[in-house]
Amino acid sequence: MDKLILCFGAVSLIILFFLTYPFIALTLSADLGLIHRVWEEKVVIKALSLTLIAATLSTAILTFFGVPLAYLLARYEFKGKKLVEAIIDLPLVVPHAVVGIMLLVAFGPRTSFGAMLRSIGVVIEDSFWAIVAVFTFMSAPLLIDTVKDGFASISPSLEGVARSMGASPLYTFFTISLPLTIRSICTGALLAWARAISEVGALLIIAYYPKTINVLIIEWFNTYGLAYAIALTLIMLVISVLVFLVLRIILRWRK
Amino acid sequence: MIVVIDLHLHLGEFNLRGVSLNVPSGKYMVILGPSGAGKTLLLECIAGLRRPTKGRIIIDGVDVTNLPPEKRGLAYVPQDYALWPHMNVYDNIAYPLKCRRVPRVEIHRQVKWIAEELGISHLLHRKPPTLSSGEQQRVALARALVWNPKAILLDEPTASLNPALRHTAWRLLRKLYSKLGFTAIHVTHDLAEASALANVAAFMYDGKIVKQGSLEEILSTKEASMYLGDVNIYRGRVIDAHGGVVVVDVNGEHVAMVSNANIGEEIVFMLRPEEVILTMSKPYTSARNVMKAHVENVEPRGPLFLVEVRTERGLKIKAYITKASLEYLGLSKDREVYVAFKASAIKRII
Repeated sequence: MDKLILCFGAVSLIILFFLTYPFIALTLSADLGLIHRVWEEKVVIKALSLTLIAATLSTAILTFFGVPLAYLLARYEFKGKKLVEAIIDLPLVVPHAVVGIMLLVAFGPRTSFGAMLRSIGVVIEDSFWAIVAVFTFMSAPLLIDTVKDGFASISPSLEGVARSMGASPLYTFFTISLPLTIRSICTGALLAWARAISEVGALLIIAYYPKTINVLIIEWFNTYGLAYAIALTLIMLVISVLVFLVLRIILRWRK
Repeated sequence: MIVVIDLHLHLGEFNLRGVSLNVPSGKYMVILGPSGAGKTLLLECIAGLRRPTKGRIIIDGVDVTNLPPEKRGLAYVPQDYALWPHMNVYDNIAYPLKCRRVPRVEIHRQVKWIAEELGISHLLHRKPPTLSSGEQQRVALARALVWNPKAILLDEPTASLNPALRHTAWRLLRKLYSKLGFTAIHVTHDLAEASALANVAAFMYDGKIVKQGSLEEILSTKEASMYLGDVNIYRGRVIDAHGGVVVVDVNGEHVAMVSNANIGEEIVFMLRPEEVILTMSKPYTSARNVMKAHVENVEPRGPLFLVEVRTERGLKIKAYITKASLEYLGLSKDREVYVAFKASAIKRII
């Protein structure tokens, strides 16, 4: 066999082992009785549903605002485009705790912006909306970049022909561009959703309460020890993997 | 009528440098030119997909330079056909009619009609990625023609077809043009394609229209002969067919060629200058075509000389000869010569 394949195969096995073994180790160390008890705790159900709802809402908000932005970036050249792209990617490199502080300083209830938001019932500190804000901020690059790449991969002639056949720009977007990018939008939304439910660093700063499942895992790890944290982690892991699999199947089916 | 006046656009290495063009209504214009000449850019500007930095585009007397594509009434068919892969063939063809809010019953009737015209009725439920290149081309033409646009703009529509399908596509375009009588601007770098389709032509080179007129006029330009080479292209009607050899009437001159064409059929054919023999007296030869002519022009072509002669019945023929032959025959302007070429030397284009 080719030496290159053997060599690269051996290296690949090491990294694959590193990625897979933690899942196996976590599963093997689970205490089924404890998981059952944990599952019956109201605080767990509450934290879990809060996490899932906030992640879903943040993904919906991102899709609504992110798709038009992704389209503009993919299709048009304008002054400051590089700056806009850099701003979108910034959350990928900013430490999570810093994001929490930034959001607090920008939109917290003691800021002028925060006061405006409070007047319409949105408080960005220790609230559901604070969680949604963190999720949206952290997930934005994943959705926008994925959808942007999706739009960019569509041949402009597909849209050009629609325009020449009599379609307005908006009709072209909804009948040609959007349907052809639906896989990228689903993928971006899936990545954004998965990124959101895994967030914890910024939440510890801006929204410790109400507790999301990840905050609860940290709290239980510190209070009750590893066994309780593992039980909670496994529940979270199973839900994440299930949703992930379902979405992958949907995407493959569409393809 | 489509009129383009002094169009300028700079787009990296592709440029339009003052393009002017007139396309009369109902004419099939072919713009010939090498790759990079700016043909596609010009078509995109006319379609409204690119905005020129200078110049005007006028369609049926209305200045459309600043109008968006959907307000121009032109159907654009790009080189890759741009069929929408998420719609089936029916929806692709119906799209321009839906944009115009045509009633559903009428859409159905028109799609059915154009699908029958193009022989694609059996494909209506299929998705474009499952079609062959030839089928995709026919669907793209159906979509462009179904809504009766002011003109169709065709960007190298046969570039992705193999040679056999290309000939079929030319015949189809000719049939559609003679039946529906649309205005077309068709860009290509293929001389045979231009010969098969054009009733007016233009040659584009380095971002400019060098010449507009009949194909013969286009081919007489220095730029065209530089790019396309010297070639004789004729259009005529078959008046006799016997034993695999047909006689074609080209403006009164009778040319014999090997072909299985039928009597009455209009054909386009090509004769390379290197296949033409010039003699000072009537040759006793196996060549089926021998004509008396006089020299109109002699000019050098690298190591050879191009001699342009005109027969007694007005047929212009280009021939290559060596310098030694030129001196031996003593050829000069107005000198009488005999032109001979074999029936098998002629290549039918369509």
